[in-house]
Amino acid sequence: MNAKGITLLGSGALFAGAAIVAVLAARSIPGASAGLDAAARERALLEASIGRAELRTADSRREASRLGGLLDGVRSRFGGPVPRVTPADAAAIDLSIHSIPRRVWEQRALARDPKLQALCLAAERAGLAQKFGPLWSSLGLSADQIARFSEIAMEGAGRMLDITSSAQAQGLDESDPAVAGLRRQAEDQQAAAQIDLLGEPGYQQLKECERQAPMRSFVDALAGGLAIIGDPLSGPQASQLARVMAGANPSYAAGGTADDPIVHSFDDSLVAHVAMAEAVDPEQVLGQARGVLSEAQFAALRAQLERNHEVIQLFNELRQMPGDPMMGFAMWRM
Amino acid sequence: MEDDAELLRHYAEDGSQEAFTELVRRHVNLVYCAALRRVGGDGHLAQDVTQQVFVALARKAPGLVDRPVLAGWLHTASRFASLRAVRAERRRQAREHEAHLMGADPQADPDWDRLRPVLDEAMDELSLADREALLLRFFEGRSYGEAGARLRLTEDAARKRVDRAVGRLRVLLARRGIASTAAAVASLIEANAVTAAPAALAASVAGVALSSPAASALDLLNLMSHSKLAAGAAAVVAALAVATAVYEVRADLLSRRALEAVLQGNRALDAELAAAEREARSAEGDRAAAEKALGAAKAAVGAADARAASEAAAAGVVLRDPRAAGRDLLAARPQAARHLTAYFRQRTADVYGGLFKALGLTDGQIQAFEDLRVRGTAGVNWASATQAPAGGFSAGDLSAAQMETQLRILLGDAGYRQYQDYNASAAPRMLSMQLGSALYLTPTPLTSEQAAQLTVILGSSGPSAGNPDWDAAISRARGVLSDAQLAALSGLRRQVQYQLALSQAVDQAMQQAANEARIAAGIVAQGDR
Repeated sequence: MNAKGITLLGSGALFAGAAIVAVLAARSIPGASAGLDAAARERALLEASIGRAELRTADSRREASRLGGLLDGVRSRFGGPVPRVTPADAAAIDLSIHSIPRRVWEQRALARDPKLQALCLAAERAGLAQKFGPLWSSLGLSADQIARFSEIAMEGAGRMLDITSSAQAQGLDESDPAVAGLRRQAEDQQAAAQIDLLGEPGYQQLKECERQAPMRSFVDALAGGLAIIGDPLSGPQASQLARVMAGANPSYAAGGTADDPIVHSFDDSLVAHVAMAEAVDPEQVLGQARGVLSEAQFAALRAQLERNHEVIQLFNELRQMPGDPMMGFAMWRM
Repeated sequence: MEDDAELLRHYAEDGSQEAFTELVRRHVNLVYCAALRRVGGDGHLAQDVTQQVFVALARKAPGLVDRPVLAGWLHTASRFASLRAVRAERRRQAREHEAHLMGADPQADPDWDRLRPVLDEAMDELSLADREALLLRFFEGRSYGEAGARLRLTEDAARKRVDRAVGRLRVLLARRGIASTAAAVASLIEANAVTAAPAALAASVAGVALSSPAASALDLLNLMSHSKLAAGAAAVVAALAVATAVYEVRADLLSRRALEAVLQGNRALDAELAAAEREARSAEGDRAAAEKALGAAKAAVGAADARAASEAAAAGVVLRDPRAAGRDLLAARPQAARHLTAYFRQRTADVYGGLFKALGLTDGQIQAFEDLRVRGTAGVNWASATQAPAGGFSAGDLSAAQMETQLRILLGDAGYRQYQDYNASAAPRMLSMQLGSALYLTPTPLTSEQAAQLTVILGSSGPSAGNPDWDAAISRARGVLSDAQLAALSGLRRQVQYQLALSQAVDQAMQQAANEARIAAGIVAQGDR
């Protein structure tokens, strides 16, 4: 056999061997790839769940600490432990009814009224475009993707209402492990659908949008006032302003959800006679917003923040008055 | 020279490896040094983090092309990657029970040694704008002019922003026990923040980040092309088969290794999730307990005050007129009176801004209008069991009737009628503002003219100004609003109706609960309800 023959034979054998190895390896790759995809998806879900749990922890700790401060304030009024209220005291009954946060009453009312639930879901759906419109634009979602996003959001809202209703029907508290477990499960389900739709980076943007939501609501309300005087905010201005405000809020900076920048109620601080603090440093916000807004827009923002500042200062002054002058403190006549 | 956004766009759109390598070259020192500080000086871990950050950059490039300052994203990404790396490292250390002292650079400035571990944590607390300004100036070493161009500011404004950011950073560092002047902080960071990453890191990072399946396929095609030129047909076919086999086996091995690595990571994440869930539940439990305790405490305060009032009444104590009591309180605390007045002045300007514009009032007239409104309306509702009966106190000296008379004189009859109409349209104007909020970011925002017309329509579509006859209002608004705007108005209707229904349901539920509690306590017999 000449050299050419040997080369041909050798090449043939080599080809055959290599082909078999390649085929075997190639058949194995799709399985591994599919496994990799599934594992990567699971990792994304796990990271999303960890992120949500960390956010819940941060928000709950902040709220527990705030409530603890208020409780200390009430204790200091009694100079020691808070006395027990006799159930036969009619005034005490009314006050104990009113001392339950309104959001709890809202949950209870919603849980037992299917008509109210339907109204709630319709209102929720109507508000999606305003709440998530900037996110949809930023992610460049198509009409179909927006429809799917809305569907996921509404399914999630519906599931949460169902869980609340079932828990209430069975006399279970929201903190009951079974109820909490169902809620986690519903959240995981929603997160999985959202990650499928938006991808991991898109999902992170969604979470960021939710963390900034109170600031965004404030900016939206400001924009509504500006729209009717003919100096509307643009999308980039609104986003930048929401970011500036979130950046000036300690809860947001600490990784939690931003606080509402405007005070709407003094109830708790009033009873406890505890000083209130502003959720954002107005100087910081105004300093950074000056370059973002027009003169009229800036003036509207400044007016809102200054008014908030004044009312908090007023509260803090009045709470120091001797005696107990403020059981029903509220702004009057306007 | 192309800027970062252009390079990133080249990479994202054309797959330009040169562009990506240039980005790595530009930013590798920044990312490596930020990682080094965050992981406590562990060079190997910092290299891993750097690699992860650029891999992430390669993956997310299409979504980042519009960012004016890429350094900000890289800094944040290095934070997350470092946190993950440190967590993983801690887990490893726990498993191995090894105490590992993070080594500090013995050559470093002693002040820098203190600053280094907390610098990035403090940077994270700055606003995005401040952080980007510092990153551009000190971490990327750009001039104020260059930094300004990136931040879309003038050179002077960029300098001011950097100065302010350094000042804020100094405050944040002081909270961590590092007291220094702003100038000293700036010079320390400038001198130490960015040191060179290991020489080979940029090349290795770019290589890893770009080693995608697409890139491998390209390499293979190149290899095949060279092989064809170099060998005879049979040898080429065999070589191709071998190359394919090697490629497939390598790919298979890589896939399996990658799968194993991800599965292992997932197991660690599972454990992390369980711990995070436990922590969240515990925090939520604390919150629920605090909420309950505060509820009981509030009821106790109310009961104590009610008892005091009843004791005062039984003892024949005559409580003072609340307005007089309030005026005394404000006189005793002039600062409170100033805040009250300022609040009402702001509120007046906010509420009546549209009227001022419509009437074309001068600055002097506006000032006079605000003065009258403040003098006639500024006050606070209050109730105190021990000092006065429920009522209000006023910071002003005008009665409502006196205020209205003087406003009529100020505005003239026609102006005063407009003022009255304006007051009557407050609720529908609020609805128009809400619609303005819903539409301002859409392609069809509400114009001020549309808002004015809509306010009139909503105000005249009874029965209630805050909740009009929506069918009638929407039908009348057809000539004023576009289809998309009408759809948003229908959405607003659903939200308003839900809020009203919810509010009514809550009031009913509270009333029912109070009745049931009274019956249970024997205060009211069931038949008396």
